[in-house]
Amino acid sequence: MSAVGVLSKPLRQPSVLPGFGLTFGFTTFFLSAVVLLPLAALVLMAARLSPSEFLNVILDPRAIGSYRLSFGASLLAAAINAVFGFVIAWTLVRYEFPGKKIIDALIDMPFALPTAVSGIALTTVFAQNGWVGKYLEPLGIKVAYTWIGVTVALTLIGMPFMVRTVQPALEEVQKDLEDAAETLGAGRFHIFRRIILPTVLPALLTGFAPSPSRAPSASTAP
Amino acid sequence: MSITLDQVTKRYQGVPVVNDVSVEIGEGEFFVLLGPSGSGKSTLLRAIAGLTGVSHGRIALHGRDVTHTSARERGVGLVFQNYALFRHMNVADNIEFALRVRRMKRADRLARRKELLRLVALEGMDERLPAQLSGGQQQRVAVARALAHKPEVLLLDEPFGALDAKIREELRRTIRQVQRELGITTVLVTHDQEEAFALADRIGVMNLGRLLEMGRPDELYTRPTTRFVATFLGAANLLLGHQTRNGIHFGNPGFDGGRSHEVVAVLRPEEVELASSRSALGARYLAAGAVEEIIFTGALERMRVRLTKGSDEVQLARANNGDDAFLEVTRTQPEQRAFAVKIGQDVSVGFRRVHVLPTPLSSFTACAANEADVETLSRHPLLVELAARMSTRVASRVEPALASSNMDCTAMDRHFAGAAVIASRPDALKSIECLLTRGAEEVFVLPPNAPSPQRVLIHWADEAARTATLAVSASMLRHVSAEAVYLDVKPEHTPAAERPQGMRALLDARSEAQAVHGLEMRTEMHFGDVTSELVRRLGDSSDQLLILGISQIAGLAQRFGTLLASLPNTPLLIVYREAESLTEPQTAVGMA
Repeated sequence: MSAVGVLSKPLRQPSVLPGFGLTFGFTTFFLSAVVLLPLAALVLMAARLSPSEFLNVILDPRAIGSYRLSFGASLLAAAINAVFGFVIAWTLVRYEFPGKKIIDALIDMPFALPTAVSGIALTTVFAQNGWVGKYLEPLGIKVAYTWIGVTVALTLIGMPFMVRTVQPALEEVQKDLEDAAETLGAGRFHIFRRIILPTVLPALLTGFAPSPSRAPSASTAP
Repeated sequence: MSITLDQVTKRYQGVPVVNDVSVEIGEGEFFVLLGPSGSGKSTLLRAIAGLTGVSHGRIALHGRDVTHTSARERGVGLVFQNYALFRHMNVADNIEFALRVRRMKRADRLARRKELLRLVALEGMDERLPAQLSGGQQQRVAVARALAHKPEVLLLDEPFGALDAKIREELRRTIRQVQRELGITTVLVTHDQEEAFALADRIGVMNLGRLLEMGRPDELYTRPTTRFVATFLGAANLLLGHQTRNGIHFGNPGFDGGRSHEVVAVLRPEEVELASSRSALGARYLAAGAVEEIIFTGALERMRVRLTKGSDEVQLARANNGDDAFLEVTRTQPEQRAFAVKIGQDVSVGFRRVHVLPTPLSSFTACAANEADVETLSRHPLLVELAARMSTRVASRVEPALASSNMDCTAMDRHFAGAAVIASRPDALKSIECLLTRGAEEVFVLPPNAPSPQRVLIHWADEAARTATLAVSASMLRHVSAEAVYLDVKPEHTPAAERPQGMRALLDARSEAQAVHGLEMRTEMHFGDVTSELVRRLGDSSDQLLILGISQIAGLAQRFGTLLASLPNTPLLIVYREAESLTEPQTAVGMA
């Protein structure tokens, strides 16, 4: 009986996705070639060093300085974006004003620009003889090639991420919820803290989270 | 009074969405605002809650003026169509929201929450999240939340809109029960007349931003005063009849020499009787017809009966479609058993009871010198729009006498039904005079391309025409979303001592409009020459309409020649009532 049962079932069931084997193999190959191989090379390079040499390299004061700069600046930039990105998203969701569509489109500009281009643009503006830099220089504030410059660059690059994740969440906070809270006696701050923020918080964190991981690569910009 | 609205107006970009609404809602009353979507009822509710400011007017809750008080401080409970529950809070936190805001002690909060959950029959649901509840349960939570802070009034914005029929009925009962138990003044907004009938102590019907009528459900159903209410609350056949001294006649008026007056009568489908022949009818005979359509709905049978064309043709007051004169009929099971009918069968139609609307504008008759001009005029967009909104008809009438520059009015037929409509022309005044002397009571002068009016200016040149002008204005304004302004003009050199008297007359006119005709209007007093003041006021913008009341035909050219010449683009409605024949307006309820 059982033999009949096994035989009646075809050995290979045709997949609902035609050509699955081919595409899966193709994908795996390219994943290995593009992502896994370089990563493996990285591990191999590190493994060539002895443990003490390895520690020396990663604890080198210059390396630590770069970690501090990368992660510190990116966290600061993410914090700035959390506040201003929220404000921008709020403005775009709640208000109607002339040129709204254009501003909405401009948000994505840092996305579209290659990092080198935005780096040059920022340098033009913030260098010692740049449009803004030349006014900051007499005040003793140097932006380009300092941690401030890095933060500015990261803020610029992180902004669209934040706005685009918060925007849909804000659109979902129905005006009715605020109206309901208001008729129940809640003030503006209370409504923001108890109604709007809890609803938007997951999106805000989603916008915040990738910034430290983007940091090491993005700091090449300026 | 629990809620007092005084001339509340809300405009969006100049267009009135809520138009001069005044109403007083008593302590513990269940008031239902009923109207089609876009009638301004939700905006009005939001204005009461304080979520929308008003452009004009005053709102008071329990005698406290709250017009400029924020929603936060008004202390009302509001329930939304989509529940608007806070999704990240459980039922308990939702209900206690208003109590936490007020820093109530924990024990008191708990007690209040338990009480509210019992009230809406949701005991033990405290810990659930809104997403774990059904629509009906969510709305119950919303009601409990709105009642937590013991509001003075409860406002419900289409609270059953998103629920299915069975849950809806259940929740309806709960809300009615809660309202009775707490004795809380409640305003509910809906577009569903069945819901309104089931819940309301009093219904206010809104259309185009105006509160058209208010009253007990049964009153509004049996004795509506406007076409809109008659057709919006239940089904209604609107018939054009002729009111004479001997009662109401339908079909061609058999002239008995006496003066007859065209009226609009409401015939409810259930008041129609069908029989095999005229003699078999128990009720008064209306017309002959043929059954066109039968729909079986369980308890009732709905039918459409096409009226046979003939000499005794009954005029249905419906927009320009002489071809499909259908009568809506509903019959109960016993009626069906007594006289079963099939589609296509010829029947005699009788009516048990009709209700005559007190509206003075029954229908329009486009008048011009030749066929082509009549045709053009009867297709005028404003006229077509008005007729459609009033669900009345535009009749045509060729009057060759109107062509000649030397008009011979005596050649005209003396009988006029409804308002006469003519095109605006330089010599329109002559035509107006002609029509008025031959029996027309209202003449509507239409310039080509006149837009739908945003403001209606009301003025009567003779005090004797006051009541009629107000009645016609009220009738007109129910069908256009315009604001009404009554303009009184006193001579420039009116002594200061007489001015308060003029002011009093102005207020009298306003209260008469409100009390007798249900018309809310603003009033303005100007000092100067009538013509120049009217021209100045109407020159403000192009989308205005002037209603002018007169009681003398003689000297029309001298009095208003300049006015008409200066305002070639303003639609003008002239209301004429002879001074001596000025009696009470038609408010009689015509019984068969």
